[in-house]
Amino acid sequence: MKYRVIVPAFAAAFVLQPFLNSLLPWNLAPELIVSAGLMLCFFYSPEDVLPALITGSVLELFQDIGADQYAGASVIAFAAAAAFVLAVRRFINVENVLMTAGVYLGAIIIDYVVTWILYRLAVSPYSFIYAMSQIPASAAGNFIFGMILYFILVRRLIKHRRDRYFR
Amino acid sequence: MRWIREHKVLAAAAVILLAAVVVFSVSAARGGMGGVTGVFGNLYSYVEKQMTEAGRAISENVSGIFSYRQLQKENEELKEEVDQLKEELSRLALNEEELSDLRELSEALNYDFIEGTDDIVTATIISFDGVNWTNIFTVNRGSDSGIEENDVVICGDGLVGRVSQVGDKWARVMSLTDESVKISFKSRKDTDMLGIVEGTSDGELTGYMLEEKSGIKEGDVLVTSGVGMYPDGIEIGTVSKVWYDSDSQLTRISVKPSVDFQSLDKVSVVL
Repeated sequence: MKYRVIVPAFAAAFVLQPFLNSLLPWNLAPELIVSAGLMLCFFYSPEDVLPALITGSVLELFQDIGADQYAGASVIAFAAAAAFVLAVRRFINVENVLMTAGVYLGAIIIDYVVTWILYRLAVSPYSFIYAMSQIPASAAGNFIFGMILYFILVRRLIKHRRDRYFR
Repeated sequence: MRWIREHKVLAAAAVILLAAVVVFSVSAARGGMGGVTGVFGNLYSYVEKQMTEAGRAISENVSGIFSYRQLQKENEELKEEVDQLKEELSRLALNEEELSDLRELSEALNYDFIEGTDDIVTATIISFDGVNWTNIFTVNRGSDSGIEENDVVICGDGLVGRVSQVGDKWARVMSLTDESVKISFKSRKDTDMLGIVEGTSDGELTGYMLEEKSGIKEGDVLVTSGVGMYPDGIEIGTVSKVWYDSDSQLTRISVKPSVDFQSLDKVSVVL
């Protein structure tokens, strides 16, 4: 992936994020950079996706410093979720929607869980059960946005799809 | 060094991750990111404010179209309320003379009281913390408006929390439930019933009464007692559960906060 493509795209997502947060009700707004970064991990090799992950991490760090209570937590959580996708994608067929959706959902949950652990370490009082009870709408927003990206990317990036091979 | 030269991108990723761990450790140790902001904080809050206002304007207009019937009903209710308030206003005007007498009396006694409007700054929320389960948010007023760290934040429903960080044109607010801070309270119906509450892990408040056998009941409204950082008489919440703890010999309570933190839009900062 080229920096000249990924930097403007992620910068636009960074600026657009507060707009979406106030536009969509019930915390439905997806985290654009996290969702896009994780979905790109399914289609590119670790070396190729690194520019996207680095750009995403830097912007997440800016967002943490600008708006969040504890800076750096989002970056670490994003890195953990991305590492999970990169580790698992070798064993799955990315063209299989259900399999990809399952792994992607797992990565989103890892992102939330790692964030909760880090906030808990930084004396946030909320229990795991309470924290997880607050995420369904946000997770749904991330999942929907990620799957839209999936259907766009799977058509563009996988030229010779296996389901057409024997036709 | 050779490995770094051969794996430049991977090394850069490792450096960023390491930087994030260091920044997080420093941030957690300090209880937040205060002091790291400045020009960046002002720039970020400016962009965020513009984008949030644009999104909110669209959202409000769209929801207005779909809730025409509800707005019509609300309009009728508000008309009735205006009529009732007009009646009440004419009744209160009769007491104005009494109020001026009391003002004269307070001046004569050199009684120091909070004037109100000069000591309160109204602010609009421009963003919530990116984490779903916390109630930490940023408002569009900062030290330029006289806001300082630990200033108390309230809204129409009651006590919201305190200012945790301040920039020139922004301030970050931490809600009551986001930290384990003890708040001294009294019951609104009987101001002799005193106690202490603090945030719990499930987003509510829990506490105990100072008297062993207290007459506190479910549904009682609690207000700040004026002891500590919070001024007297601000509504905290409603008692949702009362039980006697025989081990500590205290009457314990669960309290539902009066403020719905997720639906906040505007708040007031008490300077």
